Amino acid sequence: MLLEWTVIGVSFAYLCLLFAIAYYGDKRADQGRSLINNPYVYALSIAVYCTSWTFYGSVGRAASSGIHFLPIYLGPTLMAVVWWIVLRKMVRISKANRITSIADFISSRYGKSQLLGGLVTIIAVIGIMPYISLQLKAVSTTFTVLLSHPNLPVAGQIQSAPILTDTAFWVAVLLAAFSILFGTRHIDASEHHEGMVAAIAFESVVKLVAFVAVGLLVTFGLFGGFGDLFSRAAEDPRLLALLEVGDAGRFGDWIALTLLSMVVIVCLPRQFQVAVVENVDEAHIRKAVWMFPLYLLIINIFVLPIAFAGLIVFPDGDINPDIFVLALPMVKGYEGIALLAFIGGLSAATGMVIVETIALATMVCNDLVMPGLLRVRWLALQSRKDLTRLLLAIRRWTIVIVILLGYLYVRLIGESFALVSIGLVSFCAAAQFAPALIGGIFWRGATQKGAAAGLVIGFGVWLYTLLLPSFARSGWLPESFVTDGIFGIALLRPYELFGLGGLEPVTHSLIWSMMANLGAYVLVSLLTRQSAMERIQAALFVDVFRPSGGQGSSRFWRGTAMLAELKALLARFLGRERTERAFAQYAERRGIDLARQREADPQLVSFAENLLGGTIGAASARVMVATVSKGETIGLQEVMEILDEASQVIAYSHQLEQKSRELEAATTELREANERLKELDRMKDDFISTVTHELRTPLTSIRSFSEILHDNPALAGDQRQEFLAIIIRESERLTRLINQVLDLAKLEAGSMSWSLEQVDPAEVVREAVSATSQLFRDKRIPLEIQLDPAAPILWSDRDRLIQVIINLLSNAVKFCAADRDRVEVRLSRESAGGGVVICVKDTGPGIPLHAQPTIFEKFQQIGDMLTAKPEGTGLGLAICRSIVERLGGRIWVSSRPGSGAEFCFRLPERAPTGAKEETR
Amino acid sequence: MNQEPRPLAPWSGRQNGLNEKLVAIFLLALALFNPPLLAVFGVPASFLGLPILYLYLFVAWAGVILALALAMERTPDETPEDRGPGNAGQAGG
Repeated sequence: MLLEWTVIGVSFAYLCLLFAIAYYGDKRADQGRSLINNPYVYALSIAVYCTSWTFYGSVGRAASSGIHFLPIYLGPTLMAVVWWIVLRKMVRISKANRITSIADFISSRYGKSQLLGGLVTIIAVIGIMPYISLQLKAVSTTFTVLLSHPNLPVAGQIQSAPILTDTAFWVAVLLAAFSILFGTRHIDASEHHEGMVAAIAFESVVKLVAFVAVGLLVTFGLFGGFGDLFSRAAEDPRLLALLEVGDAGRFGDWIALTLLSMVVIVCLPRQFQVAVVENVDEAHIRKAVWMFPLYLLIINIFVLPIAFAGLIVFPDGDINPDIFVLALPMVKGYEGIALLAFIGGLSAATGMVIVETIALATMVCNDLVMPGLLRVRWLALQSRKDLTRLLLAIRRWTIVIVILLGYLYVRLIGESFALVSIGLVSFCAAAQFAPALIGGIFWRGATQKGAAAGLVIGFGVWLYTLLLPSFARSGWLPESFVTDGIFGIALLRPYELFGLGGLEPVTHSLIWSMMANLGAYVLVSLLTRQSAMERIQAALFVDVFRPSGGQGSSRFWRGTAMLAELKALLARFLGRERTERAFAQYAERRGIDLARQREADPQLVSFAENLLGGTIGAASARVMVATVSKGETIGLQEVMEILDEASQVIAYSHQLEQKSRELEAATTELREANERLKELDRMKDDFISTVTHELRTPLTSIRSFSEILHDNPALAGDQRQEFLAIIIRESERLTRLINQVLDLAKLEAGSMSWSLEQVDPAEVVREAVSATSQLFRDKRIPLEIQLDPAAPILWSDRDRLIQVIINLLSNAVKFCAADRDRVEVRLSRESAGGGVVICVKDTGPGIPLHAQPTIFEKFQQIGDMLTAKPEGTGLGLAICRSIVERLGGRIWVSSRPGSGAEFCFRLPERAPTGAKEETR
Repeated sequence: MNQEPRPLAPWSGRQNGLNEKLVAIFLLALALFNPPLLAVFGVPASFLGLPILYLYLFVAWAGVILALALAMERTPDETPEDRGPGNAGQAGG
């Protein structure tokens, strides 16, 4: 005998245990030792898919349609096979963008559109309403059944009680309270509701154990195993028919249900919540992919046996097949198992309601209410200090309202439908998200208008072909609406739209709504253009696996904001402490010191928007952040450039690197050249100042003697003659100097023309000697010539060579004392290099040691400049050196002061051709 | 100019061919769970005392799950950089 208070007490104890688990899970999460951070809990939490529908409804379905209860579980298995491809992508996207719900996801994908977010939310709330009512109905019905023990209420006997004595109402209130406790204790929705997930996973275990227990009891307790059960069923032709798939129309239903359940396993708000939003680690998907289908398989093994057993035990059909799971153990006196079954059904229902309402509450709050409130100016939400309480209040009220809506639906409609039929209405609504959701992560070109059009049209068709007829059949709309179509137009009959008959209402609705939805989605997407924001978001979603995909939209965001304003904004929604913590973590991760910054850079603004999005949804977050930030996202053109060039960027950067390396090399060369130029410039300056100085000396003397002659006409004749001679000599010196300067300039500029030819060095020496013989004769200085007959013929410039030797000879003469000294010129073959060495040696005063290293520099003259008049121009030796070096040789001097000097130069056999070597 | 090797699209089966295996299993399951193969077994016969359709569907289902488990567990992990950010990125308390 099950007393009412026993049942209530056990149920309440179970719910308390659930809450304890949730509390413990949250506590562990706060300590950083997550309870749910393993793939098994993840897979079990996804099993929230199995609700009262599965627990009670499947058997009811199997009792009427046989094997047709199964597509609802084969579909998710099919989808699970490709989860690694689809779900993983959605998880990655959601983590990168702090997605909080399926509405947030779709709104984010299509340019953070508030319109889409709101639309998805409305569809979800209306669409899921029947599903929640299903749970309420199941719990209240089974509760009533359990209490009426040992008698079983005959189908249709359960009367709707006044609200205050209606179990469904109290179940609704209780579930609302639990959802609020589980889901809205803190605010950042992108954080995981770890406690809730832990509780859900526990519930999945409970309902599996309970259902399998009932199944084992029925199969092996009431019957003699599978063989016995099925052989007894085979005796009944009515049951035998349930083992066939049926005609072609039934095949259509089968395929439609498979497809339907395949997409809803990711599109249902609660499935999205547990599988995507609550996912802690992508790697968990790996195990969930096969464990979740395995769970489905196990929980379904006994569905058909229980259904058959129920049909055999209750052959009259006066027991609702939806309560077979409970009724079978009850009539056979297994009260413990009956209570366990009730708890299993309760856990299936509570799990669904809790997750679903939390998901819906997040959506309603973030994508419907907040955007609306933010627009209402007189509320002045944007300037309120702390909005976290408001957010929580909105969510709590949403939960209450959503559950009460479900209750309303069950009061209005519920009694006239089987559990599965009610659930399928919701499935079909959730399936409307599939094109926008799954299309959105693989098709970059899908536009916001396309998604909106698809959702609106698909939802409209669903409303017309599935929801409204359910009202009609319950008597809340005229029956003629279903039988005759709206306005009596037969073509518009909701269950046979455009004459398409012979299908189950769900299949029928699915076909039309999906066709309309998908068609509008694709067509409008192709016909409309994406805005810049849409394009950015589309790329972020579709390309999330690209290396740059995870970095968010900051690369497209050029806005900046005052850091203080940004913080204040976040603090209003997240609370001051959490905001500070988040910013501190950000600063630490990026290695920056926020205390020093007044302005938040685009990355930080983007980070803040993302953070805020975790609380109030992407669309609202964008609006809020826009109120404090300057600048805006870049234009469409730039976005396209960035996206289209994204692949070229790497190539460009390579090119740039190369260019910069080349530039560096060029810069180095330039710097060197500049150094050299500066040096040359300096030398030029020196040269010019020296030259002008040298020019001035003869000019001064010419001018002064000319003045003397001019001012003293009575000057004695011989003196006059002497002065004129000086003038002539100085003029000659001036001419010589100028010639040599010109020569040297030409040599150094490399513009002197060189004519290389075969040159006999001996002949060159002889010619030079004969050219200077007059000088020697004048000073009566003997010149001795030694010519090595073995000297090779050179390839050199004859005239320049003669010039060098003449310079050296005249130089020697200049410093030799008349009658006393002598000069010697010697040509010898160089033994080592195959060239020649020519030396001019004198017995003059020699060159002081300190002057020797610089003797070949320009304007280096030996002797006391103040007392002795300079004999030469100071350029002769410099010219010699230039020529010799240009001809590939070397010139040097060896001298001991007091005992003469010897100038020698060596020439190679072949002068280098062409090279314009600079001579310095 | 040498470009960095671009990561392939996630469904193109880079890394160890896991995606190809999954798509193959998907197609297999699609074939197993739907007509016409379903119609073949949709006959009122029994095998080992069990209705053949019931038996077929659950065996096929178990087979698909087994193949899936083998594919997921036997295929080595993808390259580390392909791993998601995990719980990193979750700032705020």
